[in-house]
Amino acid sequence: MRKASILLAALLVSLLAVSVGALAQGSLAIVYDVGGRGDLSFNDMAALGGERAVRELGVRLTEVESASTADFLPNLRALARSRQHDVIVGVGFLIQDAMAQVAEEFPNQKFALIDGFVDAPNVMSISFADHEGSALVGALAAITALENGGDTVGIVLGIEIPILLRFEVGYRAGVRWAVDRYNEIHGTNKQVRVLYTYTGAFDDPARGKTAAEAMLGQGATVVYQVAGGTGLGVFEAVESAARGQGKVVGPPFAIGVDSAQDYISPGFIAVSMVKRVDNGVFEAIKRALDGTFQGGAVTLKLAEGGVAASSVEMVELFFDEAVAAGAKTPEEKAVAMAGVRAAREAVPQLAWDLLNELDSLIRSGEYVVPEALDRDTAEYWRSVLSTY
Amino acid sequence: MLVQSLILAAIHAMVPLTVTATGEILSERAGVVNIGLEGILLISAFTAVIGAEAGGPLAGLMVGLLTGALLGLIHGIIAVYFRGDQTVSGVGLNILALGVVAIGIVDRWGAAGFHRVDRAFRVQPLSTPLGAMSPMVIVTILLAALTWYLLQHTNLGLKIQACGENPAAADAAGVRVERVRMFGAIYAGALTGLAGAYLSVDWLATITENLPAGRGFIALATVVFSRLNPWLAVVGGLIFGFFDALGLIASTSQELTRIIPYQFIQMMPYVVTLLVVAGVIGRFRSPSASGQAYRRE
Repeated sequence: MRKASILLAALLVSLLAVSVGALAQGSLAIVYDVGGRGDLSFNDMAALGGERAVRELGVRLTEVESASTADFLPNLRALARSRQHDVIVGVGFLIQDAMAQVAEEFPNQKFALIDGFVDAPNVMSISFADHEGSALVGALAAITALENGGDTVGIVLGIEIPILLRFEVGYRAGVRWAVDRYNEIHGTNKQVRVLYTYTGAFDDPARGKTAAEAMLGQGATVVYQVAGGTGLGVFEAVESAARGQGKVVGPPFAIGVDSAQDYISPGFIAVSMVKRVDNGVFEAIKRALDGTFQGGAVTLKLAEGGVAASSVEMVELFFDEAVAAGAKTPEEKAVAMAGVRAAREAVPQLAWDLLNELDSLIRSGEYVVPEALDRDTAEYWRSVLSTY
Repeated sequence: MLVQSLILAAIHAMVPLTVTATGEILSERAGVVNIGLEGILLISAFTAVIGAEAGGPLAGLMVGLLTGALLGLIHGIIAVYFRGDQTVSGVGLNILALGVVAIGIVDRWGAAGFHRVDRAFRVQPLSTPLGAMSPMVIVTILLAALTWYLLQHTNLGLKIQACGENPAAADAAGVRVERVRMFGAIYAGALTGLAGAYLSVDWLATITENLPAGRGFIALATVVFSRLNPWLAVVGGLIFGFFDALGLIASTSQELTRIIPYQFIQMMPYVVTLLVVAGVIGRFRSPSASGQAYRRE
């Protein structure tokens, strides 16, 4: 009932907006993924992007929540039919099919899809340079291992699809760059090996836990999860292993993905590779207003603010949103933030320094992160980037 | 180190398979087949988290068990009193679970897809020479022993087997077939509910929209493997758990994947499942009236 009333309210707001729409500078509509505001993930980030557009571009913002995936289609249709919005943004790949259909029904309406792909001239499909972001966290992982006397890091992935090869190779590139840089600084000849596995599932935390435990058993100091729900098992394995040694903060550490996941296992997640959905949303409305909007695939690079290593401020911002939305209590926020800060302090300073150094090198184009989207290329980079 | 990881992973993976299979063994012996175990695992895993967050890990396990018992009761009423199709009712449970839990997680915790269970609300592991181990491993063995004893050495066990083999004869002998079958359906539900709670408030400390990820169906394969003997359900759970973990663990080892492609290693649990189910069971005959409604003449 609560969800239904929110939905109804959102629709009413959008209908009301029709009457005053002519006065505004422009109009942005966001259709959230299931779960809506307060998810500490894509939806909250999209909302931040929308709020920034209101602030900086003076646009009017219409937000629509969907109680289930079945609501995507009617919600998108209602927004498109109103003909009031310069661009309608859909958050998350679950909305992909509904958007493909509505984009065909309303060819003059501009759409943007976050983290998915629709092949239509009026849909801008926004993805993020996850290989560059993965390289950043790879550098942090490698140095965290070395500074703690380790020589092993891990990455647990979902199903072996092209996009995941890109994460894996990016991570390896970051590890290799950081190890070389470390040896250059210290005049050493250290090596770090990368354990990896494709678990074959995005929804099985048990597989993630088993794989991560095996990696920790082989001496991995840091494990990066790129496996959706399976990755929750990676967090669980890392936290349990650390707690088993009587620790309240890592190492061992896990690394989160997609959004600032640091809060999920406070104290045991060093950093997350964040897709900046907020910047994706902002980019969509900005391009729709200045006439540069084009359909097709757009990859937002690190230099364009497409990906980033998570920061304390980012996690805190989301928690503020979640507290405001009633999804979290202030006490929950305080506990989680303390853990997030503790984890970051337990990560060696050199790891942060080199992460930032690599960040500037990628931004300036001095370091180009290799990209692999097929098995042969991935295999090539595996052997080239290995220090063994 | 790899061997130790493997043993621990296999033992923990065994628990949900064996506990679920043990309950279902008794139910099938009594004549009620429930293929909705996957759905019961999922719903119970969800309610167990709510229970644990309200009253601690033990409350979580109990809420999971009771949720499972209730769902088993519903399946039993449909199968026994309404003489409904047991397959349809089971499939219904599986579909129901996917919807209920997806919406339930959003409604309860405001986040789509998952919720992590805080350390304070989860079952604490025991320290063993092998490493941290869940106390539920012991409970699993005890449940298998209890169920075996109940089936083989009690009056109720005899009645259960009679209801599965020849309900008409049992009825003529004064056994209340409906009641015995209801007991079986509820027993299977309760144990499956406990297994679901183990997933969410013990092993994985997480609830997701599809937490069991097929373990309810592997449990059904374990039932077939066991020839309806609870002790063999322990063995079956260990075999399935072992090969599932073996694929994953072997694929993390660079030394091993250099020799054998990891795709091949990850294929092994499925191959083993096929071999085990096809080969080992041989000519086993399940109870004559299992899965069929009993209609009094």
